[in-house]
Amino acid sequence: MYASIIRSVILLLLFSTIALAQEEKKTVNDTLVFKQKYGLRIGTDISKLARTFLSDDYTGFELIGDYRLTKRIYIAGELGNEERVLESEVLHNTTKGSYFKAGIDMNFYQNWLDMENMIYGGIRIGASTFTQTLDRYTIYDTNNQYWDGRYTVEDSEEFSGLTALWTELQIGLKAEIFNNFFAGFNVQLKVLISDKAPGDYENLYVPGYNRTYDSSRFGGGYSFNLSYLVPIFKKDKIIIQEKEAEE
Amino acid sequence: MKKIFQKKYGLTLLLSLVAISTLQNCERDDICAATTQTTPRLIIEFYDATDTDELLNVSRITVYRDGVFTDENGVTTEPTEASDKIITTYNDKDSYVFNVTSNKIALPLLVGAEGQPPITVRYVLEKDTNLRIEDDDPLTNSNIDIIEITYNTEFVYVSRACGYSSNFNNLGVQRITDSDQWITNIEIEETTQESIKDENTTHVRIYH
Repeated sequence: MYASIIRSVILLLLFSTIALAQEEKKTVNDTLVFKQKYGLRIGTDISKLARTFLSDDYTGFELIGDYRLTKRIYIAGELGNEERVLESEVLHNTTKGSYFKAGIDMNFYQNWLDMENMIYGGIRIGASTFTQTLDRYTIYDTNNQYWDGRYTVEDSEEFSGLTALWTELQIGLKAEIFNNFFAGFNVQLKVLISDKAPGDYENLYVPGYNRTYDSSRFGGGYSFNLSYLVPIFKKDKIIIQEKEAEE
Repeated sequence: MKKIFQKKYGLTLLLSLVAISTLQNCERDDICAATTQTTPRLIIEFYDATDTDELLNVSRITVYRDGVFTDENGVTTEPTEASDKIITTYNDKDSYVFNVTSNKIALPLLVGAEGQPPITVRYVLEKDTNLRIEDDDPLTNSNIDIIEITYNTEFVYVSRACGYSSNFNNLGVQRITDSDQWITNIEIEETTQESIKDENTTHVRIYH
């Protein structure tokens, strides 16, 4: 019973494909034109704002911006100011300073119709000037118990005029949530090129670069951002679709 | 479309690899490894006073800082058993230099403010401790010699995990004179006269 039904279905399918194949296909190109907005997009990193309110040892603000050059390429940059307190058993350090990053973003996302979302990769050059204050430090001595505790230096020492330069790779996305209003997220991989550190001390934190590592020049970061697109001009996005010709 | 995905995955892969390595760095960077050279102890070796190139064991020595067994009334009770008021042996943090025969000790130095004036500490070096604690013969007793160590501290940066350690500069070691001395001479090694930075070499020779 079932076998016969299946057999007839298969036969039907076979013949129908043959029938289709026999039909001559005629196509024409159909051109669709969408208006694409080009302009300056300005925003801020809301994760930094959140950390400023939630955390006692962080204060920071970052402006982000990009300008669309071509269909895929954007000029992009960040400008910020940070203050970060790092505290451990042996060190209490405050870093304060400003930074800027400049580079390009490339959109890899093939947008549907008139949408302007981004899945992008970006490169940046970052530079920072900052001041480190060694608020206090405790001498590391594994034999300190014998002399009843560790010795702590309470005199704070300020190291100013410090600088750092790094490159950065970003991967992220930006999605238009309302008209001209975007929400985005990205992760950042940083490679320190050079830094001017104080003598007999080091840069524990660099504004914009985040914390440093003794054993490598790599650093990391992330951003949750909101931005607003100020449209300056519009360009046509032309999509050519193949359509079956109508007789 | 395929190309785009390859690009995306490639980048993601690269980034996650870096993230993993960064996390590993975290651990390595934030814990001060026991192998890191930080604040050193003062390393003393005991030599034969007659044959000055030969190490000579001190019999049944006990070492502790002067005053550690003195209570608030000024009464000193000499130790009868090992405790953490006695210094640990050179290479084992769990055993104490109490009533042991040895030719090498390491004294923890008090870390105080940098610069002038110098810091002074005194250590009690008790020889033949067994004669005091084990036998009741009042005619034989241990022999206590006290040494006085002066130095300046100098703080140097090590790493973010270890912070700063202290070097000891302008070292001076003296014997406090008493009627019955077992130490005949104290010599500071020429190489450490300037500064004590690590525990890799002997800093002071005591002849007896």
